[in-house]
Amino acid sequence: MLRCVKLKSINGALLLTLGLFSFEAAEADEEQSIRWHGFLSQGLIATDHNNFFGDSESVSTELTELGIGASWKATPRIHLSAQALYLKAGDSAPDDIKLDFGLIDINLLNGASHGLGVRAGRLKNPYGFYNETRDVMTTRDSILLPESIYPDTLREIYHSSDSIGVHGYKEMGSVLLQFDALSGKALINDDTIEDMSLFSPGTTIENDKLWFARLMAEYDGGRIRAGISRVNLTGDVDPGPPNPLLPFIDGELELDLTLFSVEYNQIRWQVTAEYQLLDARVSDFYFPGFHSENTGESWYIQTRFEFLPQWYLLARYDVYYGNKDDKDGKDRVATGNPPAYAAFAKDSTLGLRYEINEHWIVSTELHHVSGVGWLTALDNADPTSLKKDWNMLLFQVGYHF
Amino acid sequence: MKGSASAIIVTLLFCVFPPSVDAVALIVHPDTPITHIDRNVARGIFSMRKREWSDGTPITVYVLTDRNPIHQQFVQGVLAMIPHQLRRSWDRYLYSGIGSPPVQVKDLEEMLLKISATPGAIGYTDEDHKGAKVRKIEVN
Repeated sequence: MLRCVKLKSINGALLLTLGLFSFEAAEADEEQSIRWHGFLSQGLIATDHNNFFGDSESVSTELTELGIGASWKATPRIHLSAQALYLKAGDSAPDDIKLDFGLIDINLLNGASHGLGVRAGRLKNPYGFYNETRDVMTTRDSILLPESIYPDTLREIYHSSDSIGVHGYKEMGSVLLQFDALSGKALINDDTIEDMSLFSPGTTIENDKLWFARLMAEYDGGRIRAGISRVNLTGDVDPGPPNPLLPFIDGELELDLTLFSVEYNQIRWQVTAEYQLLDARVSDFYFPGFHSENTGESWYIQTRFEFLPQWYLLARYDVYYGNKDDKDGKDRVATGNPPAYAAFAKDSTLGLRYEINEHWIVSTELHHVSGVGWLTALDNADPTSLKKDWNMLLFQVGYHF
Repeated sequence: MKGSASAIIVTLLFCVFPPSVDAVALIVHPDTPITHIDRNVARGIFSMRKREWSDGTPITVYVLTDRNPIHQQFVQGVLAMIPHQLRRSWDRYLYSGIGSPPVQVKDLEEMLLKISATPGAIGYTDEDHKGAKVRKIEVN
């Protein structure tokens, strides 16, 4: 119960509720009782130019991930779980503790080669290979996920949503198909909107709706994995109180994302690649009848090799284009929105990781980046002072149980 | 020359990827309603997808720690899976709240004790089960 007491001070009614159940479950088998998990990591970031996660030009410590959660199998077919998360990632994540997920999962069908279930509550969004567990160092192969596809600046939207979902699987010999979909409401904060840099400060997004869907195929116990993920987000954009300098009107925003994922695994090495298209459409807002559409393109390829037991080397090339029809940024400059190199970011990464034991990991990573496409004004107050070519060195230590 | 070269290669391969010597076997609680198990079904159980036996008994999965050589042998030799792939699916369940990873035991003694005491339990062992009330199951 000591853990429960500690948790109460950290967060929330839901965890408390789970804690109370543990009295009832104390005598049951461990499968039926409350199971706790947690993780903690701290990073150091240094850049030679430009800021990422705080003031990294003079070494930033603004990369902290702390989570604690519990799960309870109420019956063999009903599963409850919750996780509280504290995240510090520069200024793009609000500096507080929030409910990362809190859900009920009901298993409806349990066949010889298939299964089907539903869940509801605050759910982690199924997207690509990494999204659902992106804050847990042990589940990432690198300190930073490929920023082109898993942007830390929009972490809030990607993380979780208040949704209902269905999930299922079907086995056909050595092929496994897994399906996840959910529909609900995004978690959007003001910084996220500002970071979309489409709108003026004070803008809010209301009546937002989103859905996520992912189909993943695995061959031979995960030796080959391939998947497709789709996201759709719509919302009404409200420019806030009338402003004579920025006379905007109510508008509509729609985002459409498509992500292809593929991976090949061997015992000691793996190759992973993902490719994403992001369609953003804005209607009205600037004036009645206004319509703009923009497609961003991102991809990366990465390989990881266990060269000694528990020692891993990682190499990755990650490319981001904010607009696939303006890859070099010429149009951007022509329309009075310099610099050209904000139109892209090409990140070459080398990483080294040592898994000390089953709880502790240390890792270091070197990035050489050309372009500032995924940097945020939240960390860089003066975008015109950004340098095109920059380097970043990261160090991170993590613990999980 | 050709013969000695291939002998060296084979020796090297054996050093880098040692073949499993002890037979690791899948074991279940004696009342479990199966006599043999398909490899894909076993993969589904140890990946925590499959949650019930055909008679509706909930499945409880027991494993040793990831780096335990017996665990590695079981995953690679019996399930024919890559251990870090199995770990990844357990982590996804745990850290996104959609399920539970297997119950981890500290050694084979605890494994046998738990499996003999828990209806629906499944795990593995690499030695004679010393009269413990568990049943070895053929994986094919």
